[in-house]
Amino acid sequence: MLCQKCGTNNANIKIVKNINGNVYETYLCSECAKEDDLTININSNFFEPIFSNIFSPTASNNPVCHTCNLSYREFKNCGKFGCPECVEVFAPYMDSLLKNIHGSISHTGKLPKKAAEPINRKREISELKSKLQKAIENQEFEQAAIFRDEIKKLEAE
Amino acid sequence: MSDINFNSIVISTRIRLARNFKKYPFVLRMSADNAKEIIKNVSDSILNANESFKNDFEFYGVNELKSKGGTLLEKHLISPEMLKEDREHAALISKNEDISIMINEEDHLRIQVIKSGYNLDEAYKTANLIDDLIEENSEYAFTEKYGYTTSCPTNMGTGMRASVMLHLPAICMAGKMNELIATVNRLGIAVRGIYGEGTEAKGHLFQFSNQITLGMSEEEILSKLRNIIEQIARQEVDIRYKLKSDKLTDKIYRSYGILKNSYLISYNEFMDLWSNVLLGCDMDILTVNRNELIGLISKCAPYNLLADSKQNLDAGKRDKLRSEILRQALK
Repeated sequence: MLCQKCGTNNANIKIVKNINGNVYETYLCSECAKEDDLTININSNFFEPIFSNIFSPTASNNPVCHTCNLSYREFKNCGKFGCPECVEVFAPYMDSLLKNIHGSISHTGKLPKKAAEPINRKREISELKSKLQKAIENQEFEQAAIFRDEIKKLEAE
Repeated sequence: MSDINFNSIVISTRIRLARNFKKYPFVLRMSADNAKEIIKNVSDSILNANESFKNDFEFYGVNELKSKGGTLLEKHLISPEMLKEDREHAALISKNEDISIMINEEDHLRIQVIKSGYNLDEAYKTANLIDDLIEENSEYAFTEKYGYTTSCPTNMGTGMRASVMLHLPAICMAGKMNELIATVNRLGIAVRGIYGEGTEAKGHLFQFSNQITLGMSEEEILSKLRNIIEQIARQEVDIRYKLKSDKLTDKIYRSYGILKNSYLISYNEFMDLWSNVLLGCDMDILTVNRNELIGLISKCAPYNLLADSKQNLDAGKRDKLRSEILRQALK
């Protein structure tokens, strides 16, 4: 996230003001926060303790998303993706990151309707393939032929 | 253990779905034009969906949020993020205030359904319906492996945060709250104060929500949360009856006395006393209109006081007005 005051530097300080129970959050860079005459101890590594545990060890290279220009390093700093493609570009780091956060790396929940059809077909095909494999191992060739035809049919769709 | 009335512990239930559109950069990188276009698309798909939606939803653009944002925040209809003025935000809120669709919050879309009491299934069903409706006219950012792509990796997968607000005075009085928080944290459940992330707990109200959104289906997430919530509620009821004594009854009576007879009362003092009175009501020590009592939380919150009085009040005048409202409500 960019500093809300200067709009150019990355924000690395989060200021939470609680006025009569209303909480206001402001994100500033160290420079603007200093100008703001804050009495808090400014630590340039403010976000690091939060993110260092969940992000994979320093990336040896720094991939940059071709669509939104966000680099992996920037992503590490702010903890937010810039666009849907970032996930693909940062793919080498995604598994360990998500595993750290969620303890898992595969979605098993709802599918959007538009994506559901091909994904369901894929899930069906892979299920049929394992059935086919089993049928061949058991020398049930008639059954295997049925599975094979079904797979062909689904793959053609 | 005999079944307990969860509605005496659970104040409200909330489901939130985070979604982003495939064809736009995320909030971090989107342009002002992107933001406006997203707002238009989402509001069109809701307001043009059918006649009843058109009449039921109210649109809050940047200007409306500027003037009414605080009030909406105190009613949990928008998040603190929506009060920042750094981008084009909007919200669509249903008239009876149970559905709120935040546009360009941390994600393009935050579909939120709030139900009073303990109502996880119904809340999810409604959120799911709105989700399908918006998807009809657009394509969500989604990958087969990681599910719905969200701005922050902590929401990837289902993008769903289910949260339940519990009133836990007895666990707090018994000094067990920190222990409880540590325990549920280990189980992947986050605990927050009444106004969400980074806010302190007032009135012994705590929100419990799932931290994990990837690797479990929506149903699994809900059933895990349900399981934990019900155990906590049973503990709370158990401790309430262990704490029952003349001393506790006295504390509840005194709180009720002050709550309906003050002349100046701050929000913090109000919340402390309110919690005792609700406890008294739920333990059949006091006879109070419970719905009215719960409604007082938002009615007496600072922004709502200002909005209802239609004048600019300083803290002292707000405290006076709050007392007036309480005297009227608890007559």
